[in-house]
Amino acid sequence: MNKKVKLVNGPLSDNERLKSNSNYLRGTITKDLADVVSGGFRGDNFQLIRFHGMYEQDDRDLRPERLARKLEPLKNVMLRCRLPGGIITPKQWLGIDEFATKSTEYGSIRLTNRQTFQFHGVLKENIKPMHQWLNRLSLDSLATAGDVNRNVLCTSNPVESRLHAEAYAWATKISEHLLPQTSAYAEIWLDGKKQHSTEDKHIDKEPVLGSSYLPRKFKTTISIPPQNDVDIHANDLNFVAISAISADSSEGKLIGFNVLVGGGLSMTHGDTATYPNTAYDFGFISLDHVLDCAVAVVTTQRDWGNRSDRKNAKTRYTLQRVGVEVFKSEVESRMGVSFSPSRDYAFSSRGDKIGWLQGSDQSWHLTLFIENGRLIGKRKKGVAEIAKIHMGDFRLTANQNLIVANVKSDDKDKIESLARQYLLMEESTTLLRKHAMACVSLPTCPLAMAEAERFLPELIDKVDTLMEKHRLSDEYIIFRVAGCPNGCGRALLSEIGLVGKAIGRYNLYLGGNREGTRIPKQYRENITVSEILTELDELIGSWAENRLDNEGFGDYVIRSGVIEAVSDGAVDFWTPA
Amino acid sequence: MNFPLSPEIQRQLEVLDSTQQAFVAGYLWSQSQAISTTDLAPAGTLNVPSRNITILSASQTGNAYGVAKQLLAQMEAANITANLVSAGDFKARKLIKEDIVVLVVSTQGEGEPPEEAVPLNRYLFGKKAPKLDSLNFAVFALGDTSYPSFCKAGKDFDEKLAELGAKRLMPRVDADLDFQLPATKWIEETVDVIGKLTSVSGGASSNDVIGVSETSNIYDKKSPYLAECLEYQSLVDVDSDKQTVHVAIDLGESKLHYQPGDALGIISQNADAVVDEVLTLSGLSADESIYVSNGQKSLVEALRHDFDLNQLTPQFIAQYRQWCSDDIDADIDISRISLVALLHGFAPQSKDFTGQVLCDLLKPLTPRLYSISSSQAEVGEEVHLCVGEVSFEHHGQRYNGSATGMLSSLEEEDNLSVFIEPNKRFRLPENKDTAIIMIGAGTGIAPFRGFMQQRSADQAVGKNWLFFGNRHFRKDFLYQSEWLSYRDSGLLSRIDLAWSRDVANDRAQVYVQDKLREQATDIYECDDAPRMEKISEIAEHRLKILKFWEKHGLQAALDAFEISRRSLYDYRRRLKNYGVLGLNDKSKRPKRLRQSNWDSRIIGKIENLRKQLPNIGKEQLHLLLTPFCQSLDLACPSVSTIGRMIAKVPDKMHHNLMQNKGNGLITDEQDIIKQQKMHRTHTVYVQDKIREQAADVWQWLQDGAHFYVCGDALRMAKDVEKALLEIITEQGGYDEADAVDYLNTLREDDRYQRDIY
Repeated sequence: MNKKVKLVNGPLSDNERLKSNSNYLRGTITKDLADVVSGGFRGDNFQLIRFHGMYEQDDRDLRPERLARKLEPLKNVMLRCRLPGGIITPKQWLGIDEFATKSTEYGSIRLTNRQTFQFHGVLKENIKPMHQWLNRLSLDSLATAGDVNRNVLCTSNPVESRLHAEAYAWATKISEHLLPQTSAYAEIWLDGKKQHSTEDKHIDKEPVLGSSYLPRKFKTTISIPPQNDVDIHANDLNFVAISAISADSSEGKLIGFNVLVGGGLSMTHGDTATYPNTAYDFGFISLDHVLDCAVAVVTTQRDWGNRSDRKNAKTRYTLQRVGVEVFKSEVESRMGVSFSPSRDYAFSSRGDKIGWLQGSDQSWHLTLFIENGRLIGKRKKGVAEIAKIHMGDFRLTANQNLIVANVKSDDKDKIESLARQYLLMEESTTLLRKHAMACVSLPTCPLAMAEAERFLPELIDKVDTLMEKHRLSDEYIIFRVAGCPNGCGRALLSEIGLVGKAIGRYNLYLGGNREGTRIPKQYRENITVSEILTELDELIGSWAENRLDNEGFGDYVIRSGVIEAVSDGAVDFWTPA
Repeated sequence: MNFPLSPEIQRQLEVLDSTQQAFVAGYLWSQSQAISTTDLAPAGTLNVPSRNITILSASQTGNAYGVAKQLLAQMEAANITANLVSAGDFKARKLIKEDIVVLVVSTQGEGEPPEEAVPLNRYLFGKKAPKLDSLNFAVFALGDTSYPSFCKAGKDFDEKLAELGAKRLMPRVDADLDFQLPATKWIEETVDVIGKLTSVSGGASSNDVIGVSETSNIYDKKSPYLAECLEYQSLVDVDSDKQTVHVAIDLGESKLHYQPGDALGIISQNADAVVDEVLTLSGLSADESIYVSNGQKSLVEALRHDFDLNQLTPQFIAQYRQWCSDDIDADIDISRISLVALLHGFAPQSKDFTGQVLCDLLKPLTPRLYSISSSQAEVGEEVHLCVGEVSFEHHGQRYNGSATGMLSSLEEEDNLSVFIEPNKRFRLPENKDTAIIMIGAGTGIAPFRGFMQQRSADQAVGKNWLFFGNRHFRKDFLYQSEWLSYRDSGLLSRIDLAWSRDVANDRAQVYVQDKLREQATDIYECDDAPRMEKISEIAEHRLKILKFWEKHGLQAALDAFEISRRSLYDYRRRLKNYGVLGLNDKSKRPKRLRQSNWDSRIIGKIENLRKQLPNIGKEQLHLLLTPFCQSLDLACPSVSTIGRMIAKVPDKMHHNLMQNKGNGLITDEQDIIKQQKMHRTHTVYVQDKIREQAADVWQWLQDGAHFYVCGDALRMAKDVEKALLEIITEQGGYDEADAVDYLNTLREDDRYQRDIY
């Protein structure tokens, strides 16, 4: 190891004790599971279940009333499935639909912006059955949360079918390769048997992650330019697909990836040592080094990451501390090959193209807009009805939408009529709404400071009115709301971003771009919704009047000097606007 | 019949009710007997030898103790020396050495003696009952005519003592709730009878063991303290089907003191609305002047403060018939009908029906006692209660029990007349190192919260183990957050919970793992299986729909589940009226089930028989039971009743669910597996949890733990006792009689205490 590397020598954070004492993520979860006095998990187990893909939550709307009644909060868990690239079969879909309907408190399926689904409101007695249920469907939730490499994203692009298939294969490979090797998951939830997904491993060893796992969560994506739907700059490790025209096809063939390291959006209000930042370009690697590269980046972060201060533990802070070049050369030495210069690519958009598209292999793909990714009631039933007859697959997109993929021409009408019948294809949805995003927030998220998902639809109604007023109904703005500054809603990669401060109050960020390559900057702090709308009315009005051809809102506010561009989050995110 | 009495006396006798008649009969008899006892005194003995007199009080709510104290006072006034001993402090085996015992005893529930007199009762009725030839005795029995076994405990003692050879000094007197008048007369009589037996100087030294460690309070039942309600807080989730509330009451400057285990008496009062309705329906004048026990007042006042308008007695129904023209249904359930409900159907028709007539038919309104759920070591000048709401519906109207009704309409800052009712028979061990096992169901958790507060304040190191049962884990875990923090702090060493309405934990796994196998299980659930308490899958599904509706609105629910608006409203109505069980398909379950009064000995016998002969049917059982019942002098249940017994107690009588293998015995391993599977859907009660922990419970008892039970006397306390006896038999290797003896010793040593109602 390079002796000049500036490592952190502070005392280990409590989470480090927790991980290393956990006996490879076992803790005493089994004991808590059998404890019938509380609906929740105690001590370390409360955190350890996250490594198994679950968060303990409670309905915060009900909490005060239950506490007054001397009852513990209505504890339950949220489960996040592992679904590399977001692909799920109709049979699997029907399985998760059944579980969500019968065994969760909310009866919903939530599509997340990291291409998977979540069950919310699973009571303790249903947790183990849930994992067994998933296992029967060849699904699991291992390492979708906690200090590990989480669900691997892959651009959902349905058009370039072949390129997508190749990229998707890599997403799966990387996911499996970086997965914890402990048999704790199988032991605890599947009674020692794990029949599907990954192979049995009886001896606990964590060659990649190590026995105390990573310093902090770690996120990986694969993107296929020009689409940046996966929002690479919100992620630690990004593989940007580079293709070349091959002799046998008019379509591009995957030849390697540009690797970008150290994006991430979480920060703490008022703490200037925390900041969002875009990822640094390390260069190009060919396909035979992809897994080695992934392991090299993960292990470098594992060994060099800050295990003393969790707010400073993510890859982007390690890069800042040791220097991007030092980090990069360590990765090169670990993977045994150097990066070649980056290949040219360009992102142009992040949204999904809602509606029918035909792929290069002639099959059809129907992208359904799912507001907030929330499937419940009629719409959820509609997806299930489609699943019953659909012969292809489903793709969960990084924009929380759902693609009914690989539909044969003959089935197109049937599927469309079901989609219409169950309100999954509503013409009236504005472009603004289709590009909007919010995190889950209240009532289930324990970190939430303000409303996000529940409040987004009505907020969009109001902003739609403004857009109409300024004759911009056929335009869109990347508009995102997050209930806290933790980053889930990716508000800090939007053109207009709201980050919750308190109930009804938000910080207003401006200046991201449509492609998702620029961090926005704080424009107003801690303002009310009506203040936000007043500001937006003025800003959108001025954009409508003064924009250049096709100029996006985020580019406009920077050009017009409303706000300064953030060029390096580590340096200028916090400098006053 | 030719009465030797004047017509005037005859006419006066006619107005007496049954209790009064009984009293007069006994009174007159004792008058004549008293004279003859003196006559029977040994001839030539001019100096009557000094006698040893023990007044034994067996009290549950303090009434019997009060009478015993009055008797002692009167004895002392007459210069007779006597000892007043609480049955709990009286060693049953000492009885042989006693000379004169005057027993004042009340009756609980289905004819049980008060908790403190249970050891004495078991001793006298057990196999080792003594000869009591040298004992003289008298019994004053307190009871409540609205219960079927009126004064049964007193009657039992009275008859048993005579049977064992003791000499009855005077006939027993049985008194109803308005016991004061007969008590006064009985005391007078008793002092007289005993006075004639004893010398003035007396021999035994007075050694009143009562009240040594109890701080007496200024305020009592007769002069209660007007206290303010500080907190009135529901303890169950909003959608729980049974309301239970936490009530905190300010004792302010009253200097009232209590110990964990004591009860708080609340002087109840009928709601104005109920009183008004009685007046309107009966057509009586509110101003009519009424004689009540302590004077005269207007009818409206008397109805408000002096009489129980909720609980009617069989006598009431019997006598009220003559005042109304309609025929009152012979099997009207008096335990479920209030005066208002009755008047709705059967208004008085006769002009002679006066307020006085009505009041004379009614039971006096008595204070309600609630187990205190706090310790002053923690809450200071407050007292906490945990109260379950008793309400019932009649003609679509809801009625609450009077005191609970008062509590259920209570608001913070309202006032209540209260007093402390000590319960010396429910006390933490004096030694703080002693372990305790607490068993409570429903509001029976109350005293244990007080216990824990006290143990915490005392920094007692003795281990604490709670068994608690109620309906649903997530809705009805009373004081859950407090138990959790006691567990976290280590004060609560163990906790075991039983949820009778929760589908067994592994049921969900059945759903996931065993879909196919489940079908096989269903076959075995269809016959006499526990249908009674079972929530079907369809009901759970409907509940889910209703929850969905509540959360996401009507249209969403209609769309999502594709059901009609009409069914949706129907489900909601059924849930509201009948609880989750109402959502079962075609559930015809009545709102209230009448409690069966089956003798536990018969149930036990049936269980035993079926253990030996698993596939025996009700007809054969009837044949086998007849001699058993005859030997115990019990009426043998009919064939069909036996059938119902089997069906109603399914968790204990599962053997009938086995397939008949021809020889009546279970041989097939498959059957055992099926049996285990079935158990998963069985209702779980605290006694089942105690059985599960048999070895540890036994170990704790061996280590000296005290065992406390609080809750419903009719079922839970009996079932727990049965489980406990089983543990003593199985774990301790005792036979049945010795196990009873072992338990009795625990009782006598104050290591098995119950607060049951």
